[in-house]
Amino acid sequence: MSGSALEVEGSGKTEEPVLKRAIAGDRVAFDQIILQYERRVLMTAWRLLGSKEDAQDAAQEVFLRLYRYLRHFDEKRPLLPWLYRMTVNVCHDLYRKRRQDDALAAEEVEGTPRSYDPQVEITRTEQRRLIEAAIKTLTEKERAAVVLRDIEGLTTKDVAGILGSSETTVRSQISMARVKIRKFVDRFEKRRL
Amino acid sequence: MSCVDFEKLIALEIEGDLPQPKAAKLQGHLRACRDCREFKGELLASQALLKSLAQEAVDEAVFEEVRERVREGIAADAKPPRLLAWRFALGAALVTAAIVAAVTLWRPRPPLHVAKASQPPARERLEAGVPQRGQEARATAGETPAARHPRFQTAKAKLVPRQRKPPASALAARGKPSEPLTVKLYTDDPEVVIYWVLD
Repeated sequence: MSGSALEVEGSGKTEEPVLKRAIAGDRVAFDQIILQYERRVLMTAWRLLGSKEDAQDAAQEVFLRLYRYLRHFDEKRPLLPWLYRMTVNVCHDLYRKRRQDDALAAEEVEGTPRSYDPQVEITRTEQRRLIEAAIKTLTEKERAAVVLRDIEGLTTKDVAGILGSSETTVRSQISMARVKIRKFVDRFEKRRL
Repeated sequence: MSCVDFEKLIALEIEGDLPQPKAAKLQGHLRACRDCREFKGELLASQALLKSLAQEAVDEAVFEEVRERVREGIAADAKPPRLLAWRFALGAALVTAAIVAAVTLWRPRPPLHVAKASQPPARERLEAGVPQRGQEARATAGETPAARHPRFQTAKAKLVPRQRKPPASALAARGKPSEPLTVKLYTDDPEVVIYWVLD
């Protein structure tokens, strides 16, 4: 895929002066950066970790690392890829820590979303919960690839850059992930009938 | 290629991730395979759901909480590490206490004692044949010099070395108990001479 969405969005002319001021130590400019990117960071973390509380921890860590790293940051470089990369890394660390603390709930491994009543007709919200449960069944790398590619809407090239993988590897991961998600939903629907 | 292999290609094709030669091959298979056409339809539906997650509404309070925590984190970074300072202070106190305890409880070898200026100089006493303190002690009360040292007054019972009885044959041969070996140390202060009596 050509044309990096991140390069267009992450290094826009509007971002550069704010970033420059933030690098110079302007706290107001740093707050502006948080406001601009918090949704992307938090939602990505939420999808990768599967819980709001963990996502908040991850987002906090990402922005704190950005603050500490800011003086070394090249203002000409786009910020968004860096933020995504940091989000994936922080989530990876948190995910491993959480897995040590508490293994994935049996129902999630089995593939049934939490507190889901199969007798109840599937509404839109429930369908989303079903997809969320399906995402949890993916491997960590598949999840990162599909979240960035399909939910965040990045190109395969950008995803490869963020994950430090080749485009071929990312294509393989998103292909597997999409098929797994489809089959998970299919299995659930069959059980419901 | 089996249908399972084509499923992976379908998963790429639906989002435009499949390179052209493979895409053409897949189109040929889809025309012939009804199951794979159905699979493609189902996959498109689950992809639509997956993408809908991007539009999910999130309570503003969730973001505000993150912002607040970041602000607190930045403020904490700016403060000197008080906890670290306390740890250092505690560590230093513990080390000092350990040294004081070691010095207090350390027991030197018992026979050490110091001759003070109130008595005649040690050399004169020796030359005049005056019995040394250790000898006096043994002769009179059976007390060791160490036991009389002010430092050991409180723990006398522990510090008195066990008196070993020489064998009767040895006593008979010598006629009297053997004299202890005395080491005399002269210090810079002419008034202070240190005797080390070895049993």
